[in-house]
Amino acid sequence: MSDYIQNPKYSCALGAQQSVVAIPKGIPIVHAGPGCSIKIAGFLGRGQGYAGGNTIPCTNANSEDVVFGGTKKLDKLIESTFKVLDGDIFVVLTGCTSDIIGDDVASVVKEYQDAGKPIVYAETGGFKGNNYTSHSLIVNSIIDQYVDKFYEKREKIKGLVNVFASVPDQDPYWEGNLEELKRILEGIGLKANVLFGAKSKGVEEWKTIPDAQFNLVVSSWPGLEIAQHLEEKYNTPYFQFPYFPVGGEQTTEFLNKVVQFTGIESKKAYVFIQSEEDRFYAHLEKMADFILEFKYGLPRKYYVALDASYAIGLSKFLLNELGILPGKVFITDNTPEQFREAISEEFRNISDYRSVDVEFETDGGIVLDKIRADEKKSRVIILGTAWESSYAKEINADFLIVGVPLTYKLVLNSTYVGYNGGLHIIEEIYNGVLSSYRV
Amino acid sequence: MCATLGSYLGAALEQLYGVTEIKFAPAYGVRGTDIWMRELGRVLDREKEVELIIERRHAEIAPKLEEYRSRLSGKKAYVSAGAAFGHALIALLNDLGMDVQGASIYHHDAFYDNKDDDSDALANTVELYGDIPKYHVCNKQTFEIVNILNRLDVDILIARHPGIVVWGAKLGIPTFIMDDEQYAFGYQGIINYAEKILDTLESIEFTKNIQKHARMPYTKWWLEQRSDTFLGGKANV
Repeated sequence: MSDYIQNPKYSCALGAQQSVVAIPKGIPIVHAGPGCSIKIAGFLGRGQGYAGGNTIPCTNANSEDVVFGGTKKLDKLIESTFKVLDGDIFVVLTGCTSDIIGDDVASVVKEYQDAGKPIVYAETGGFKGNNYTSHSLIVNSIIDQYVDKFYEKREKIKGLVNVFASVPDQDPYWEGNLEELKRILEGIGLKANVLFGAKSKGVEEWKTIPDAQFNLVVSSWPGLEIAQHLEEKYNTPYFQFPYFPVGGEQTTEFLNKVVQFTGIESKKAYVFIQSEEDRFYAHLEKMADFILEFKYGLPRKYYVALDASYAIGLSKFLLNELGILPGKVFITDNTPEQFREAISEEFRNISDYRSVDVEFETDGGIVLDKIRADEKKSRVIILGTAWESSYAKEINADFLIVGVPLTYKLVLNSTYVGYNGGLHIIEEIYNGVLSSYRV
Repeated sequence: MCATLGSYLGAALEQLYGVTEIKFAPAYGVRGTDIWMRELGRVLDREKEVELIIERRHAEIAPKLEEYRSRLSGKKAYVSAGAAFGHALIALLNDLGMDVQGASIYHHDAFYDNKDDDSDALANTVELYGDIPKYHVCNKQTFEIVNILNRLDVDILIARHPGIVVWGAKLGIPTFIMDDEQYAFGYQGIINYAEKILDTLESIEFTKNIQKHARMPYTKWWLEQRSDTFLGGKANV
């Protein structure tokens, strides 16, 4: 167990800043040292969007603030932010210094909350975790300190579900993924709050969170805390599908389980699911000629180095629907111990014909060493991040960037989830292969 | 040399210029390669050297061949290929201990360009390895091939031409296309093929998934007919 991490694939807890930026007209106010916020925006983000990146107000806490406390500075910053920036929800996030010295951020923020300002806070000192864990923290904070103010005990809105899936920017395809999830959930007859991104209606949508009939967690573990909290607070039952479903088989399984859990009218739902399957498999059926007949070499084995939510679905998809065999799979999200067994079980049952011994390894350098040491008799494909790029090039492997750091890819709203995600991945993998033969 | 496509040139070169044509089927399979090598030795007057090569190569491939034979023993194969290639491939599969359930061969040549009976590859194969069950002449007519495969219990389909492989997958049969004729040639070719077959049998998930979700355009009526239904009066199957 090394005492440093090579090739980091997630950020410190302050990375939840990007989740705030992902809320339409959401603005983080960062109480941290100089540079933290912008470095996070650089590693995870892809442009400032509404008010991210350079525009994020920050206290730039320095040694004086450490010695004398930074709350006065923060107070002034918040006051000025309200004057200068037009936002619907402001989230004060603390960095390492503030959390170490114990600045009483709560009382600073409370004054503004009492005055009716849409502002909340969360203690996201970097060392407290990573952005997978702090994402849940800030969502729960917004619910507790803002959404709850508008809550009245009333009847739940029938068929309304809150979706907790991608961690914005930590998942580079989060926009497209949430779009696809919303599309298919609404296709079976539900109404979906995705809460983040272009398909969300911002704070007006957040205000309906307690009124949802169900919560859906589509992830191996990030976001589970939110659903559990909502169950405690508003008695909303939740269903968890433990990974991002990719392609025909998995997405159908996901939707069937959601139909069962929510008890919505099933005939209409199954008509939608059947039509999506028919479409997906019409394409895969046509692809089969290419996969079976292409004479110059297609990837035969894959290596995956991704977070659990991606790793499970993609590994199953590549094996069961594209016939690419599993080499080694690494889970790189520092999965909390209590979730590891269930994830390992998914891999033990990866198909009817074989098992995979998944490894939990956060150090990207060790991951590369292990992939390097593995025997490769044929063409391989690596699913990972920009960190794996030069190794992939070295061994002429096919390569798909699925996680951060992104670097060599531009992603708008394309998706790797659902029926559309399955089709998209097929195009990306085989276009990559074909372009390697281009003269 | 592919006897189908090269036989005319070979016959012409011999008839007009006296260039000897090796009239045996190409060197596929252990016994096939032995025979071909010995004929080559005879023609080139290098019989002793050839025997040494044969002995050496036998020894070299023995360990892998043994392992592959045990893993492939009894596996049922169906072949769809051209005449020369198909016959040779059947020979090779028999060498691997596999059970050839049948073959759809693209054409049957009763008459050879060099007018020599030794070139009757089919006869050679049958003589060496025994009769081939369900030998079917059909020029890539997938409706006939699907009709046949639908009834047979087959572990692997080996097809020579594009456009056939996907039908194996749709029926849930692991299939590959053998597009490179050199791949099966000689002693190394046997090993190549064994590995390719084992590789194909391994990716079973893909095949079963296609079978589960693919659509079959053939009518129920057609699949119940004899495969030679449309061959007309002169059919002799």
